[in-house]
Formats: sequence, structure tokens, C-alpha cells
Amino acid sequence: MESIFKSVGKGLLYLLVLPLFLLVISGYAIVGLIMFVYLFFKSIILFFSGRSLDIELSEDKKAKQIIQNAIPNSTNPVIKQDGGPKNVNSQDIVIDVTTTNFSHFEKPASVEEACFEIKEDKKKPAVIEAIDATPTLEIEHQQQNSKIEQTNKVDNKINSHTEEDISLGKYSPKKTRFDIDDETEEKNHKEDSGVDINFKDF
Amino acid sequence: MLPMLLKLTESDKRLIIAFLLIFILLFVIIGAIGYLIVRIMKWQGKKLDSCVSDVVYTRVITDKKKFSKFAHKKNWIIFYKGARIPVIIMLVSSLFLLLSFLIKRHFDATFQLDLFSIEKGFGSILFIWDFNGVITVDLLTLSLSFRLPVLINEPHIVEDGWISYVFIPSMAVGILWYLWHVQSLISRTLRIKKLSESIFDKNLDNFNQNEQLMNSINAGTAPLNGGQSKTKEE
Repeated sequence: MESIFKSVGKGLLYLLVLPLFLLVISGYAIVGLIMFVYLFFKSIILFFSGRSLDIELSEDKKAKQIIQNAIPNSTNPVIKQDGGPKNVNSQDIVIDVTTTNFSHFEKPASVEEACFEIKEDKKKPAVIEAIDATPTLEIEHQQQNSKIEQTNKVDNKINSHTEEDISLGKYSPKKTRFDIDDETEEKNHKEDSGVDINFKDF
Repeated sequence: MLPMLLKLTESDKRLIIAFLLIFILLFVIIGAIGYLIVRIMKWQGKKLDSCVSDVVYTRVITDKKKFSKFAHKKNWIIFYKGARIPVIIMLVSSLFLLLSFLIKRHFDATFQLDLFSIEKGFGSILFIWDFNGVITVDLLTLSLSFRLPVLINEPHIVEDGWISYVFIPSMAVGILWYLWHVQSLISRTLRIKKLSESIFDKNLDNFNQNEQLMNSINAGTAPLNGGQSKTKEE
């Protein structure tokens, strides 16, 4: 009921405003017609001067330029459509270390530098570094190889023992002595019989 | 007045109630139409935002006056681009009327152009009723009498009316289309006024300097005196 009264009130109000609205709209229609004629002649003049009456004004061009400049610097994938994250499987990525040039990468001095950008003055000619670093890298490589060889020798010694040497004697109800050394075992076995638990080298 | 009302019969009272209901219904319909126009104007005005948003976001325009000037300039260009077709329709139909009249006059010197007449004009293809004397009020006896309107014309095509058959509908379409763009122009103008006040508005209604200062001091720190009031310590 309240909404009906509201509608009636609005209707009454609109009925009162209607003449004013018609007056405004007719006024704008006349002004619009004058402006239309003016813009028509203006567009003709612009057409013959090689331009056109475009909706894009100088301010729009400026704004467009600012946006265009901002897009390459943006990390937002919504803004930067072509620079967004791609659904590439990490297993499919192949990096050839021999051909890839990592010279333009350098270790960041701080977290801020790593997160944002490396300043231009901090960039060093990494190619020269790589040339200087080659002898030291070779020496280090030789040292590492010698270490690896030593460790391999030790490993070979360990591996040279057969399984029989390492394996423990099998349990039997009669045999209650477990010795690693076979010779002493044989002797003890011959000398005395019975229960004799001997922990050799314990 | 009261004796007059007392004199009213039951049927007269019913008639008055019926009239009141019709008036209420009429106002409701007008209100609904007005509401619809307001909604349409808001929708038309919103279209301006896409045209001026870039310059505002990028801060190319940072001034109310410049914004108003720029937006009005755009508003007129949008109007010009939109109103081209209806203006062309109106011009072509006017040209058609003029040429056809001149041709007809050339062959028939007595030819008279009457666009809306029932005999030779656009009225011939319309239903026309005579509403004269439909309601008669007798003030002496306070009685109302009704009669049905009389049908004067049934739709029929007349040979001489073909100029009006073409001109009037095309002109009506052109005018309505043009008025639609005029309404858009008004809507955008109102929107420009609103935006120029809101975009660069420096409103201090919800600003309290002391509150801001205290918030900046207390941000991330424990309350003073370990949460105890000064009076308790004393």
C-alpha cells in the first residue's frame, strides 16, 4: 500500500516536472541542432585538411601513451597480457648450459636488489670475469678430481671384501659361539666342547 | 457542500470512486514511466565514464575546470556522431516531401498538401473517433451522462496520401531517434557535473586529525602504562 502511494506521489511529481523536462529537452534539441551544424562544417574543414573529427582528443593520446609505457614495466599478468605466466611444464624446459649466456646474471647484494632490480652501475662485465676465473676453476676442478679418486679407492677396498667375510655365522642349537676369526674358532672347537661364550675383540 | 454530497445517490458515489481509482492508476503509470526515464538517463550517463576514465586514471587531467571542458567537448562529439543518422533520415524525408510536392504541383496546379487530413493525408490509415459529447455534466441536476465515441474513419489507403505515408513515419523515426540522443546529451551533461564535483572532491567529513595522529602513534605498540589507567597507578 505504501509503495502504491509512493508511486502515486512520484507520478504527481513527474507530472509537475514534465513541462520543465520538455522545455529542457526542446532547448537542448535546438542547441544540439546548432552544434550539429557547427560540428558538421568543422568536420568538413578537417576532412579537407587531411584530418577527421575524432573522439580521441590530445588528452586521450597522452593518457594512452602513459598506459602504453606503463604496460611493459608492469608485472601484473592482467595488465601485461603477453608477458603473463604460461602453463609450461617444468620438465619440458631444457636449458643448455654450454650455449646459454649467464653473463648478465649476477649475485644480488641484498634481498631488495633481488626482488626489484639490479642497478645499472652495479652491473659488471661478467665476460671478463669468466675469462679471469678460468685458471682457478681448472685447479679447483683438478683438486676435486683427486679427492674423488681417493674416496673411490677407499670404497673399492671396502667393496673388495666378499660377503662370506662379512657375514656372521649361522645360528644352530649346538653352536653357541660366534667368532669372526675362523682359525681361533676351529682351535677352540677342537680343544674343548661345551658352552663357551667368547666375545673376541669386544 | 455536505447537503450536496448527501444528495448523491449510491451509483454517483460508485462513479466518483471509480474516477478516483482511474486517477490513481494514471498517476502510478506516470510514476512508472518517469522512473523508467530516470533509469534510462542514468544508464546513458554512465557511458561517459568509459570516454573520460583514462585521462582521470593517468592523471592527465587533475583539475575540475579542465575535466569539465574536456568532458563537454567529448560529449558534443559523441552527440554529433550519434545524431548523424537521425538527422540524415529527417533531411532525406524532408527532401522527399519537397520534391514530391513540387512534382505534384507541376502536374496539378490545384494540388494542396494536407499531411494529416483524413481524406488525403496520413489520417486516412488511422482509426479516428469523435470524442465530442462523450461526457456531459448537468450542473443543475448534478447528473453525468455518457455515450460511446463515434468512429469517423476506418483505415484505408488513398492515392493522394502516399507522400504523407512515407514522410510522416520516417520523420517520426528521425525525430524520436534524435530526441533519444538529445536525452543522452542531457544525461551525460548531468553526469559530467556530478563527476567533476566528486572526482576532485576534498571531503573532510570523516577526517579527524587527532584520531589520525593517535592511530599513527599507537600503531603496532602496546597501550601506554601496560594497559592500566593512570588513575589506577596513582
